[in-house]
Amino acid sequence: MIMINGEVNDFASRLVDRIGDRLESITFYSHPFTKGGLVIVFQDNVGFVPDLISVVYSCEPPPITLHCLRSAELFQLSFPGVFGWPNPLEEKPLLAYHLKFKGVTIYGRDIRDEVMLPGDPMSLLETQVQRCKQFIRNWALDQFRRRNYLGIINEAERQTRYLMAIALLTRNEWDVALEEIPERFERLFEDKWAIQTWTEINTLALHQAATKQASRESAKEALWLFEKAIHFIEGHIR
Amino acid sequence: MSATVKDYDDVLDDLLADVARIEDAVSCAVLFGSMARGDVLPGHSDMMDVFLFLKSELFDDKTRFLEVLEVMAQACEKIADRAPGPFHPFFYWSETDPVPATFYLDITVHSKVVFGEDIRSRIHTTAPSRVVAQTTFFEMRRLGSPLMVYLHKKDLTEQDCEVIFNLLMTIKRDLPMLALMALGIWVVQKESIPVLKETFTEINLDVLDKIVQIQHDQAARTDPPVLQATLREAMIFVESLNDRLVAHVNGRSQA
Repeated sequence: MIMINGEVNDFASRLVDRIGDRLESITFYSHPFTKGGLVIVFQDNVGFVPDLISVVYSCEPPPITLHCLRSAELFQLSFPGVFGWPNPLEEKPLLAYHLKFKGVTIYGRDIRDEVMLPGDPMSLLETQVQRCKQFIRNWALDQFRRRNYLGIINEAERQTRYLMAIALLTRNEWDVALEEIPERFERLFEDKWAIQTWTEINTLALHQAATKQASRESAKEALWLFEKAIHFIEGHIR
Repeated sequence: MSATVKDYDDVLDDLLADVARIEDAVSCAVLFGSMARGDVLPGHSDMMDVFLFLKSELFDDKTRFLEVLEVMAQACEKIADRAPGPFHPFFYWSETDPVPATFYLDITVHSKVVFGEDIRSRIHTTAPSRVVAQTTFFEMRRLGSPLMVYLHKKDLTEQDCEVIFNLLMTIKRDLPMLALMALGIWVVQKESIPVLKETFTEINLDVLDKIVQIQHDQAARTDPPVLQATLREAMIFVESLNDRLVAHVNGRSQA
């Protein structure tokens, strides 16, 4: 059972008050790596959509992802997602699964049956590997100049776990709690090198969290381990 | 003091000096984007559009990798400190790995090798990466959603004007190419607008010329009514493209 927090419900109420006559539905989805988001579906004949989107954002949305679409555009929810900044974690690879099977309709009609699952999870994994190589490396270089060493270590751990979660999609496993991902990956892939590497990153992250500080050297170590994790997990792409 | 093209060249030279410090690890450095095309708009063109292709064996050598990483991080910091326009780090990449399809043509065609061996004929991409490129138009439109508040915001600040201007520049620079990619038409950024005109003869592209005018007119770049009106016109253009691309994707899936 997905619990929707009051902030999300309050925002949905404000939205319905303002533009309820032009809305088809509002659906909440959870996401193991983020605070989840809302899929806001406008009626197909609403006219100039950017004006409606402007209203959505003027209703003070909570800090979650918003997808503002017409029903003819629902196919976009199954896309692999975009690369990059400023949000290093792209929700899309897991979004369609969580929306379709665990989404909660807050207002209007239930769209979940219309949400298509990605056709080829192996492609999602391949895309995620490339996303890591392009934007997590790139993001990390920028964090060095900001002296955000703790952030680099934590992100390396989170991204490695996310890579494992996306790899699990290729074994039809999408509903795995955050803390269970490494164990499930180990069981299904029997990849001791990937798990050992994740364990080292996680140990580094836990240690730095306990001391609440991190050195430049440990951030570089985390990035090296992250490169190894990418390499091992990439080995499962066929 | 206003930025000049030479400022961009100087920062690139600094990067190449750092690359020379790790030359045994570097296969090739490829410059792309406005600096490679020769159409830098000082103060507004971003940097550093460079793919630094590293030798693949570096990723098996921890000690050397960490040394190279330190040099790259230092280089990145120097670029950020001196960049005459918006800054983002360069990309580092294994010479044997496929590159993102979104960048493929710009890296291989409208580009310059600024260090090392020219490996561009060996650069390749993958089918899943092409799918990402073909869906990026829709994702960019989604990522721009929060900025739609500027269509109606009153009393725009100087910062608001800058945000709107940057959004207009993104629309002009990226969306024509991405719209064509959605149709499976692959062109470099510079050629995208003429090809878009041929592809969508019924869509009014005048706003792209208006954005170019604003780009070269300092007063217009800080004029709230001009920017707000141009943003509306630009979004009408984007929505026209979107409607056609949505119909294209839905038609394809029904077929």
